[in-house]
Amino acid sequence: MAKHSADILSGNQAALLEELERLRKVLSNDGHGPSCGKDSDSLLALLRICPQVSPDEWPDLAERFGLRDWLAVPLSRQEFPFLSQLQKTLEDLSFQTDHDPLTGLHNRRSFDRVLDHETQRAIRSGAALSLAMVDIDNFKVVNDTYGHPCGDKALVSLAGVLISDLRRYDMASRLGGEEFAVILPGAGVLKAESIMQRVVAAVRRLEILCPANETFGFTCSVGLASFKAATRGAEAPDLVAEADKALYEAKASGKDQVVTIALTGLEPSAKGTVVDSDEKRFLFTGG
Amino acid sequence: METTTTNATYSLSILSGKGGVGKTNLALNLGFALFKARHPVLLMDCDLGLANLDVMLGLAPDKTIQDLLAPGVTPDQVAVPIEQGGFDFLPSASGVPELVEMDEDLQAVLFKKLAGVFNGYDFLLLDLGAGISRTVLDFAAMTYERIVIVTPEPTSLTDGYALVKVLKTEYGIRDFHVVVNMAESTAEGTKTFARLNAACERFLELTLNHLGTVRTDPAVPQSVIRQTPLLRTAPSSQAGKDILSLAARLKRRRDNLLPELAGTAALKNFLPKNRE
Repeated sequence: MAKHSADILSGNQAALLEELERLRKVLSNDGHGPSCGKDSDSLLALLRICPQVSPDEWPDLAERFGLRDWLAVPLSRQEFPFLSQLQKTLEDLSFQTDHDPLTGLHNRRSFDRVLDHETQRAIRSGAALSLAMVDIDNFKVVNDTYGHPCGDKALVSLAGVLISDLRRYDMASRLGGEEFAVILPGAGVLKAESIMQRVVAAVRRLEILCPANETFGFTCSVGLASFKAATRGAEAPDLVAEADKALYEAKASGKDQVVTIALTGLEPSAKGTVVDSDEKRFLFTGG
Repeated sequence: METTTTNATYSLSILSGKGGVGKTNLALNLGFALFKARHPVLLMDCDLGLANLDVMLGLAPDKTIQDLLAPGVTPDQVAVPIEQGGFDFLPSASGVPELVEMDEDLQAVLFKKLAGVFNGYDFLLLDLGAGISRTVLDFAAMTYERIVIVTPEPTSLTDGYALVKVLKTEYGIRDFHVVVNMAESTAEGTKTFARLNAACERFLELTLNHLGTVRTDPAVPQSVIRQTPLLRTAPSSQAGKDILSLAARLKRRRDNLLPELAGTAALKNFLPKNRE
């Protein structure tokens, strides 16, 4: 194990690291990798008291020498900082399973789950539900012209707009690449459209500063599908497919705009539409 | 839905596509007539609208249907008597219209409790709001049978037709009684029914049942102004006699239906997606 010249390890720390390294070698020689989660009858956890290393020093050591798969448990009176650190680690891991690392928005997995729940909720309650697919216009050009790190900045800025310009209970996700989705529970056509128009306008106003001190702007297209169940127990619509259709329309119509598709089942509230002209004529004239 | 006692309650929804056809008044008087023929009747006001039966009769409930969920609350605290001895009333203010909007699980519990209330009555008449709102449709699907009120006036006919059409297409209901109200004559009533029935046979492939005709009568508006059922003040008026014969038909029908009624619940908890 190489010594890092820039960092001076105490003798105790060095000894400990050497010991861990030897143990790791022994285990890997036997074909046991430090992998967790494999079902095994012979699973062993070794606890070794290490008076040489303080709980404060450990995270840094672990980071530098690749010892993150060792779980360090401080055996001092103050166990709370550790527990809260453990808690924070779990929270971070949990966050990562559901969120996109670059933008901090929800990821595809989380999006699919929430969309399914909200769709069921809308069908049961008869409330409206809207889904917007947001796609940056000509993103490839952005990346090619200004480079990927700059492109990433654009993505992060767009995410920022989504977070700030939506209602608290709307859900913004990054589905992949430059494609984003917004779930708007309880929003009908008019409300959803006005929210997304606001987003498109805000994106238009963004200015991204790149390393070479260039600034650039970009636009996005939005495909919006809005749904309101007419009957309880109605069929679940494929909102993603419908919003995609609308997005395609937006791209084909010049981009930098919102295109909306409103989905409703048979809504008998308009009595006039229930009875068609043939039937009306018959009722009025008998023939 | 399970019933612990054999059902002998004949439930009927009274509905109209259009407002102002005299539906509520008819419901009240039909109930009165059946009560006078010695049948306990419960009239349920399922309409959230303003001009309700309770206002017309000056009655206010003590408790709501939801209160039935609490221990110690008995049905007689929720139903209000219109006439002592078996003509009772569940006002809309007692939470009846909200029944169909409720969460399904809560609905199931309440219906079970209500079954205990319904048991005591031979007839359960549901006065539904006009039109084809979700509330109207859901309630209409819950009763054993339905009575559609129309008048000879063309828009009333069209709206009545719309009602039948929606109930048939969305709930699969094929049996409807029709009462033609405010007819000039029995002949006009028959003609009106024939027109509606022909449309249903032709476009919906279903046949209606003409329960009867009620002729226009000055005694009717008079009784409304006096806030008392027509049959109490003018039973031998033209309209009064017509309503009495409607009631007689319903009574006979119930007698014939008793074996079938025994195998069902007073009100079916019946929403489209539960259709067999």
